Amino acid sequence: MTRILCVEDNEDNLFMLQRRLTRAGFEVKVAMNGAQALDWAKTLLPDLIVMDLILPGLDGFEATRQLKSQPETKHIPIIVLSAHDREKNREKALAAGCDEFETKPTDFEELVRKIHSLLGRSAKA
Amino acid sequence: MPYIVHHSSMSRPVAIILIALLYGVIAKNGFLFAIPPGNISPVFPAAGIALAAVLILGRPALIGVWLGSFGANAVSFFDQTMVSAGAIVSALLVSSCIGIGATLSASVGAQLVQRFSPHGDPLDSGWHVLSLIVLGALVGCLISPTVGVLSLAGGGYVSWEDFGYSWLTWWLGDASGVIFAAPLILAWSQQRRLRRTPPRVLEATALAASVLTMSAIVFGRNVPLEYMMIPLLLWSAFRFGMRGAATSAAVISLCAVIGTSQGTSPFVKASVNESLLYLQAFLSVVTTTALILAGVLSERHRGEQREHELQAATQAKSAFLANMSHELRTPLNAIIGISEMLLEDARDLKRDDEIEQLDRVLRAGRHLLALVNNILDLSKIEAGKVELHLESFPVEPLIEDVFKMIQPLAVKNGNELVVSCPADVGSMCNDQTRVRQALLNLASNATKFTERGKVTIGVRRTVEDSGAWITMAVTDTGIGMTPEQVGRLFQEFTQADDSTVLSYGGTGLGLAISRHFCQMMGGDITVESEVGRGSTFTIRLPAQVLAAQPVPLARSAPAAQALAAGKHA
Repeated sequence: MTRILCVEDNEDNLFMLQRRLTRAGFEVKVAMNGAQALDWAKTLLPDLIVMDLILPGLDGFEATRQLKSQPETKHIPIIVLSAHDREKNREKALAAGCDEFETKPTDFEELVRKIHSLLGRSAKA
Repeated sequence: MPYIVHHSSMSRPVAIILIALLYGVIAKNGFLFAIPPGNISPVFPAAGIALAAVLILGRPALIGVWLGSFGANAVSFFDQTMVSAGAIVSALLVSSCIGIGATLSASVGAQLVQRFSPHGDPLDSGWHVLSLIVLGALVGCLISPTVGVLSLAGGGYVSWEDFGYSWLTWWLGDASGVIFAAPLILAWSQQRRLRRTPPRVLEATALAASVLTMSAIVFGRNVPLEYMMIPLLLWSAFRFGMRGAATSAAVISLCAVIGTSQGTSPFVKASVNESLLYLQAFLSVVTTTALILAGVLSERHRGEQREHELQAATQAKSAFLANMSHELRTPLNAIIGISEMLLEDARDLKRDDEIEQLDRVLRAGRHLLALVNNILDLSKIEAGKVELHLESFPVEPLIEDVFKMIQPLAVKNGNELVVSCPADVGSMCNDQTRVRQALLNLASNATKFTERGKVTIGVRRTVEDSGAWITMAVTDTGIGMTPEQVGRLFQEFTQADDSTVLSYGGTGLGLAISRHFCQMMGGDITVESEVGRGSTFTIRLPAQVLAAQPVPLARSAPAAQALAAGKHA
């Protein structure tokens, strides 16, 4: 089963993402801050990470940068979700190494489509 | 009424006595400036002290002015030998009359200046400085010599033949005294902090040294380089404002007067009259120029400051709105996501009663999201922070997208939705998201305001001298608008009618924002409408946008672009 790590500090959003992704057929693990996300990513080695940008302590930009710079995690596709739709954030997130960028509130079908597309790409790689 | 409100700790009687003493001493020592051989003072700074005192402290200062003038004149009379009681009475009478003249001059001058500087500070702009000089010095000082010389002539101290000459000398002395002293006192009495940074102190010292050295050379050594004072005064005005200009002008004037009285300045001519004329002309012109320049500079500086403050406030507001919109979107994300999830459940379980309720929650959530997005867009536009994301894309898929998104609403309102888009419309280089947003806005409005009618989206590519253009026209057979409604259409937060917000919903922001973006892309949105017949909204955009156009925030639609309904009726 495809494993997805959801990183999100807002409990309601985390609950919603976890429920919807589970129903969409994924196995979902959650982390509520950047440090936890790094730990889980290394130990669980998920197939994909959905990452919020504003997180307590280590933020989403930095977590993405670290995940993409470490050999054991750099292959994991990361979709960044941001409640800021500013162009600057998108550029900054892409510069940090994320594979896709989505704004919140998320069009869930679009998110699932992106997940499948990234998983297909990484499966081929 | 004081012109400059001062919260002085000094009590009123003490202030009056100080003014009286200052006026008296300066008036009595007017001989310091007296020019031989006639011993006439070309500058009478006591008149400037009187005007400044009244401007700063208000009417009570007039008592001090009278006391000072009376005292100084009486003492002058008593310097001469007094033989009879009659002579003493006459001297006291004439002194008090001269005092009344000085008081009236200061009072009238101050009232005139106040009328033309209603904000209190007669030094805060070029015009106010000019009014201080013209009204306070030239006009106000007409009274004192008139009363004074009449009293002297009446008392037999001046012959009536000399009336005109004495009057003129007195008037010129008072007027130049006001120009000399009043701005100096007013500038230094303002509650403004001095910047005492080391470079500033160094520069002030260098300026003071230059002014004193140059004055000593020109007025003490009779070197005809008077024009050297102009760069020094410009330096004072540009770098040290009104205080700098007034101080340098006063120092230069003082040196010029002393030099002329000592016979060592370029103004010493064959006759006293000639010397006086040249000296007073020089002092008045130089001082007035410097002060007006300082006034203009201070006005400009204040304008710039206001603009900075305004900019900072706009930035703070848009930063606040950006953060707020983030904070609002986070819970909205949960609300919309969870209601979508529940709606899916309800559909799977075929619970029709729940479907409708959840649908309403979802719609309300999305409406709120649209509002948040619009407000954010508007704040970005206002802060001038909008960037266009230019890319090349085919036009047809975008039109299809919009068609698919509008179709359910059209079906719901019983509307026929027609798209006419020629296959050869090709692609355009533009901000795709903004173009889609604008067309979606127009199409959803048309569908919303039309029932059992027809909505047409017509797309065309035209080639003109100015290049290729893409036109997207949305025509409906809906309720239409009156010319007044059309006029108000593009204003922020405005729908054609306040009641339409209730019956049709919407934020009232979409159209203004869409139009702004179209203008940024070098195009526009125009409208033709007729009540009861329907409306046509047209987006016209250049096919190739190379850079964003600066567009001021549109607060109202130009009448020319709102083709009124009446024309077609």
